[in-house]
Amino acid sequence: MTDPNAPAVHARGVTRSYGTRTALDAVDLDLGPGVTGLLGRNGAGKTTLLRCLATDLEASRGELRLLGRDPRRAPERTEIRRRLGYLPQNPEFYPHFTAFGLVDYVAVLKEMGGRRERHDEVRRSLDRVGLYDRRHSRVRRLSGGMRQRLGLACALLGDPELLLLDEPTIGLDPEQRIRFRSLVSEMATRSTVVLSTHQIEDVAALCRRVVCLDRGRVVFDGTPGDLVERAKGRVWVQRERPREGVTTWRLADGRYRVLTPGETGSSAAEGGRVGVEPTLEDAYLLLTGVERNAR
Amino acid sequence: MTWHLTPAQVHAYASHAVDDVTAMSVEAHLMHCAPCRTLVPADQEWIDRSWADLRDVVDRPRPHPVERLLRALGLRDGTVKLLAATPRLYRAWLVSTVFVLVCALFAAHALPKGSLVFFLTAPVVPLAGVALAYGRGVDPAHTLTSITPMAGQRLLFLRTCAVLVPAVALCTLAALMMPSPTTPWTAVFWLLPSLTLVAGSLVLCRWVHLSLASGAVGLLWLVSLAVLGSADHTTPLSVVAPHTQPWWATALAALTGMLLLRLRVRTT
Amino acid sequence: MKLFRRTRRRVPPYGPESPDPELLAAVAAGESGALEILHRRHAPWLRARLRYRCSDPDQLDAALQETFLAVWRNAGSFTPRPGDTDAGAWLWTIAIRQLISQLRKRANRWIADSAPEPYETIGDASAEDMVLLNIEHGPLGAALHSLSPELRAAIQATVLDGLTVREAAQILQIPEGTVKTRVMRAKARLREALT
Repeated sequence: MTDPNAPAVHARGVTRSYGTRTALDAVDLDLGPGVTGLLGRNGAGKTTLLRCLATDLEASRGELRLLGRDPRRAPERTEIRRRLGYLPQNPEFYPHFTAFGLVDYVAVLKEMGGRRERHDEVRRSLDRVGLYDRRHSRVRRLSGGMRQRLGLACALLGDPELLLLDEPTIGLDPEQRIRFRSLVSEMATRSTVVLSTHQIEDVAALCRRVVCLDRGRVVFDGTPGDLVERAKGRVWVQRERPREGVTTWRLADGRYRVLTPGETGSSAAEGGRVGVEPTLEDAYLLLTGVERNAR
Repeated sequence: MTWHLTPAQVHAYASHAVDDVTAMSVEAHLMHCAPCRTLVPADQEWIDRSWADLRDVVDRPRPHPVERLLRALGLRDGTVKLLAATPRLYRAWLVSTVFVLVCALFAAHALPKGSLVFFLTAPVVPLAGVALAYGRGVDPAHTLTSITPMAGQRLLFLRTCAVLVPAVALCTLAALMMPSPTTPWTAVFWLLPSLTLVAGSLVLCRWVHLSLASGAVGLLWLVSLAVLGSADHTTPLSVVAPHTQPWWATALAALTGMLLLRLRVRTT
Repeated sequence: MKLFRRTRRRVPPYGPESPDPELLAAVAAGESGALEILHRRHAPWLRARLRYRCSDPDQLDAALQETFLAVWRNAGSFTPRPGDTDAGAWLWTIAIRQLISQLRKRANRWIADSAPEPYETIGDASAEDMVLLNIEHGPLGAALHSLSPELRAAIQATVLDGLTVREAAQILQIPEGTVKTRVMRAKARLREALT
């Protein structure tokens, strides 16, 4: 029934619409082990895609296979859910629960065996996100970053084969973000991790593959290096305020950083421009902002 | 302490390779000498295992009184956890249920045709609880739990039970406190309609959100009461009259059958 | 409810290097982390020592488990002498008694557990303890060597392990009267050897 070598995520023409609005438009994707970064503006369809992958939403059209199974069929969906971890955007909890009680509740819902094994797994999960010492605190007493980590602890229960994280680093301080990265890269040695984020640094640090969404469509799918390559020759630094640079901001030293869409080098001499090496962030901005406006 | 054991002596002692007198001497020393105790070789794996066993007893979270009650009733640990984890609105519903029933009782005792109020509200009380039991919007942790294997039908039915049992208990209690029923049976005539309404909303929620389904069913109930009330030769009370009970029973059986069929299709 | 929570004892700070009394105070305040440190610190030597008194590893582990559970429940009853930073002797008395109750459970599995007996220590244990600490270096070592194994076991149980006559009888599996006579004879021999 299921092919063990099947990619964790296999999507062909996956479309999801809400009434007349199309949130996902014919998405083709194959995802395997490792971390895949999902980039895109707000409303680009990242959360909808993750919810489809999490079996929370059904695709309106198209073929979707998760861990080699069909999420439309109830028994197979249950099987997918046993191997799935999902951190929703802004997760909410029962505020009167303790941290331990909440993760334990999710563990029961994940059908984790006897009480002893379940409690041990809950402790391990809380320890991995650095909340072990707060396990007896009520959820309402936890800070935003701690709640985010609590959601992560729920998602990590039972080492899922497919781990879906929607904006996981919101509310984490820099030190916790480093811890989060090492946790995710450790998970990625065995599992397929999909990470939706606005934090380009997280993508640069963790992902060997980037998928960019724009208005429900995949506009880029490749390595971070490929994405940066696309921006080569389109990033400049200059003294005067640019006239036709679409995306620009002023640097600390008073010069302007300019991202130019379209063909390269045409106006290289203008205004004392100096070409610089693009970063992943430049490439992302060019892809989602500049190219779109120019189209 | 003026003298200390050598590591070799401690190792020999720990591996049971010394004579009785030496063992006594080592033990007498170890009892009061912390530095020498650290020389006793520790089997890390054994310590971890031993601590895990110990922690499981020591660090067990204190169960909520409700959980303790449910466990005393003989329910499984996982089920207890699921039943005790009810949305915040549950308590509000419980409080308002008591309030509504007290009002109905008051009306029944004080007003001429007051018992009508009870017979017409009692079936809606469990329905309101079911509407608030499960789903996006009413359950704050829904996004976190909706993608677990237990979510969906199983959790829905469990939550429904968590609502039905106290609701039916409270309504029965209230029914027994009604003014002089002609027979004890008239006090429970609300029960079948009530269960039928709940089953109806559960069947409906296959297609729409549970809250919406319960609302629709509840509305249907109120509308039919109003129609009966406005007609000349009928009263709303005839919905719960003895001769209608077989009809309610048939409807309930049909709806329950549909639910069971769906549950079987879903799980196999 | 709120008031009750607020009056809960404040947890004293502790770490892996804290002395035993501080850790026990934290355990008494409900800190399982402090119990873990105590467990890591004391379980190995307690286990090694219990192994000389019981060869069944399952009973031994069960006794140790019960020992630390007793510590968890009764940490507040530990009262250190001023300046004493070590709870080794206290832990040992708990451990050996838990071992005895384990052995008793095994022996009379069908008999309800009886209440603990009143203490009935014989001899001047602490003074003799001080002498025993120097077994290897004093003439007592030679004297102990000359004792028969039975007499030595009686001395070990009552003096070294600090057991009552009844407890010693249970662990040695001999009648109480025999324990008393053996201890008296052993002490007489030792006194003879030392004078």
